[in-house]
Amino acid sequence: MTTVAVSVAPRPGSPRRTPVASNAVVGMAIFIAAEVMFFAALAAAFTITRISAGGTWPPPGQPRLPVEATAANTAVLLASGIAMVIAGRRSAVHAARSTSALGLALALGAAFVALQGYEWVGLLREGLTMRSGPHGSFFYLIVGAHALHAVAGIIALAVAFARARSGRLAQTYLAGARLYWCFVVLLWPALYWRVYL
Amino acid sequence: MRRAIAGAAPVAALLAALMVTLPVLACPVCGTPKNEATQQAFVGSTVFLSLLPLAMIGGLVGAAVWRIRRLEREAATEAPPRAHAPPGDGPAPVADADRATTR
Amino acid sequence: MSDAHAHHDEGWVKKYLWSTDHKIIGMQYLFTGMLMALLGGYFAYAFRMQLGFPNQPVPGFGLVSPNEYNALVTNHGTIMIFWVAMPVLIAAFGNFLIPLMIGCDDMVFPRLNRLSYQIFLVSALVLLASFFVPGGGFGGAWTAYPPLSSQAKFSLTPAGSTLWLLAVALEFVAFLIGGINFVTTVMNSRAPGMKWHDIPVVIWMIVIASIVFMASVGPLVAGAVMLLMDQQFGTGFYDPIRGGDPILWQHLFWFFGHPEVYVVLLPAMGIVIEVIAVFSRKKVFAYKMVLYTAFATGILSFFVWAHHQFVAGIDPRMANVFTVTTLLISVPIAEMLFVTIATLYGGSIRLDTPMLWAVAFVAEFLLGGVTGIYLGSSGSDIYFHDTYFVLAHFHYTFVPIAIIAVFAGITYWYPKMFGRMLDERLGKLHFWLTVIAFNFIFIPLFITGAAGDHRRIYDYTKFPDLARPELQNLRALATVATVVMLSAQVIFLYNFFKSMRSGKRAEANPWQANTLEWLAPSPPPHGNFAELPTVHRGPYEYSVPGRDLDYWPQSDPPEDDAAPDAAPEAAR
Repeated sequence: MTTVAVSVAPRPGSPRRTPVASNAVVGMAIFIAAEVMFFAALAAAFTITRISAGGTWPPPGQPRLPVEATAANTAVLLASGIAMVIAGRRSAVHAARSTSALGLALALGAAFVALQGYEWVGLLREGLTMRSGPHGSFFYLIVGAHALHAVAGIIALAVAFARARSGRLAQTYLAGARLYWCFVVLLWPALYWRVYL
Repeated sequence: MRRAIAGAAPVAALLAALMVTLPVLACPVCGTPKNEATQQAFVGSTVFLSLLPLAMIGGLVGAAVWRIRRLEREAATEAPPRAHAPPGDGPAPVADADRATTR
Repeated sequence: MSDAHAHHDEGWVKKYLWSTDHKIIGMQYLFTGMLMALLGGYFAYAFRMQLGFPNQPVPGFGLVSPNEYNALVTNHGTIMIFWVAMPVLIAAFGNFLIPLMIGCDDMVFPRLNRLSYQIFLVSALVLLASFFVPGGGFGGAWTAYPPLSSQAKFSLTPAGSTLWLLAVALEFVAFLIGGINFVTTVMNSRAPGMKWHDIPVVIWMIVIASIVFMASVGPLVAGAVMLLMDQQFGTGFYDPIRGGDPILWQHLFWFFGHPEVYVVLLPAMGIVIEVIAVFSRKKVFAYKMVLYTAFATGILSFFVWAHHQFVAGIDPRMANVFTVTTLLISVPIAEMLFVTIATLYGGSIRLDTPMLWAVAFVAEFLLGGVTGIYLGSSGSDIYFHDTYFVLAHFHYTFVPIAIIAVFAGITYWYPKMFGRMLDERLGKLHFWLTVIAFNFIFIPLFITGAAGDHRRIYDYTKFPDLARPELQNLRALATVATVVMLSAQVIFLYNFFKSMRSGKRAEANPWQANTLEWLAPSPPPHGNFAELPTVHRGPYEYSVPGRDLDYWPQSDPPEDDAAPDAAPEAAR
């Protein structure tokens, strides 16, 4: 048996090293980087198709997107992001103090998704569908992908809110959720600029 | 760093020079008459998609290095030997905080 | 499992199917990968028989119809890359080795880890299901170019192509979760004292590969979603008639597709360097150089992918740029191969089975790399594009990666995985048969490819120029060699399962290696180490002058007379 002298940590299970960032934040940051590539590819594909079409966009005969209403909606989402940042700041002092800001972020986020849905109903009524050419396909694909991410974020926010109310909100959970929500919020203006303008 | 830039410059110049070549129709399907705007869009999206991951990885690694350095500085200002360093084991190996940058 | 953790013993299902232990999950990936490899090999056997001995019933399969042929080729490629190379090289070795080699008890997200395997298993089942739906399995090649893949009227597999796409997408989700786990674990859970430059090369390689994978997979998932909608919801993203662009898919696919090559290459290279250092009893020549070349490979891998599209109608200006970057990336890879050769030089080489595999990797991969130069130049690629030359080239890279390096890894870590030694005699027999047969498959295919054999032809007897006997004999030779290579795997399977029961019991450190996994008992119990180790030096301190032993485990405390940390510092 070629055993070797074993040097051991003084206390197995003691904190092993000071992590640069918590596991939740590191994992979420990597996940977000992958997500950014996903949306970047959708935007790049849309740009190529849009430029190849030449001439005006949206193509003739296709409904115009509600640019102004969505600009207002963008502001709603940004406000939700700010509320989330405030919630993170407050929870650094005490977890229970973040409840109201979390609730606000949750309500504003939900309002954003609801308004987007309302907008979609209007566009569908005007005849813009997934099948009515690249304009509709890319619009529903990109905005829909973002909406799915927003819904996932809202669920995470709702869980955080419920936990904060009952005083069980872990700092790491909030840090991960906040990072994800900031990604969803900051991604939207870029998509708005690319898809609507 | 400056040497790296000096090394990369000729490569970048070469790549830029290659961009000005014209389609050569040696290959029957290589020069399909796509309109110039589409070609530009493909080139643009290629550049964008290729550089984005590098920017993100660079950003994340940069942020990590910055935080490591800050943690190191904080550790240095604290009492130098860690409480749970094994006695008689030389300088505490626990407080290394990744000296990748100092070597 | 007879130590303090015995109370963790639970039912078989809980222990082997629902476990969060990184070793069990690694084994799950390994066995699933091996099972899929058998399937991929069987597919290769069936379509190679059709090519070597056209239009005769294949023993064990029957007559191969053109549609079946397409499905076989497509799924052989898909399985071997996504369900063999990826799960075995990254997920199996990554899961098994990372916590053991960095000296911690488990991954940082054990439940995510379990979820990752479960999604992977579902993806494999979805792929298997796609062979049994009406129309059969997808047959539009593993690259799935539209319109072949996007419209049922071209692919003739309305359900198969969608299931195929779904399986691939699920598999990416599994590896995305796994990759997050790997990178976070290596960042946050290393043993005390393990600095960046004390991490074994193979762990670095798996981490870099995971990062490259995660940064490149997004565009393919985006492309796959669009393709799925084209297939099922009647959109026209890739349909030029409706304002789409089929080149767009190639654009998104190869953005992932080429980095993927380096995603599987880097861990394979890491395994080989690990094995070569141990069996040469020598420090890895230029550890930091390996690291930096791996970073360079990772970065460059994002700038080479358009070389797959040289004849697809891309901008010739772009083709020029990508020719240069493609040739550039051979520099870091060549550097890594030189490092392995320099490590071998002057070492006290032991030719055990793992070492044979590792050296074979260097030799065979070199051939694959060199033939790539012809394909990377946009000029010569016009001739070689889509011929068997391309096919032989990438098999000369992928077989060393996914077969040879994997065997190097399995034979090297087998004692740690199962606590028993493999039979050396059977191992060497298996090695020689596999490697010799491998060369007899693909060297003939280089020749037929250069003579003009197109990759996607089902029956060469319909092409008088290609059906000449001198070419047909080469095809038959390749087919016979395929059969030999596949039969040789029976030896491996016998050895693998027999040694598990009745092999010689392995010590904790049978190869006298330095890295931390050899500190744990073989096989490591739940929780890996009796007491978590502390690291005092780099991983490759072999044959250090002035020491009695020719190895110096990372966890050994420094000797009293030497200044702590001085030896590794000076040796660097």
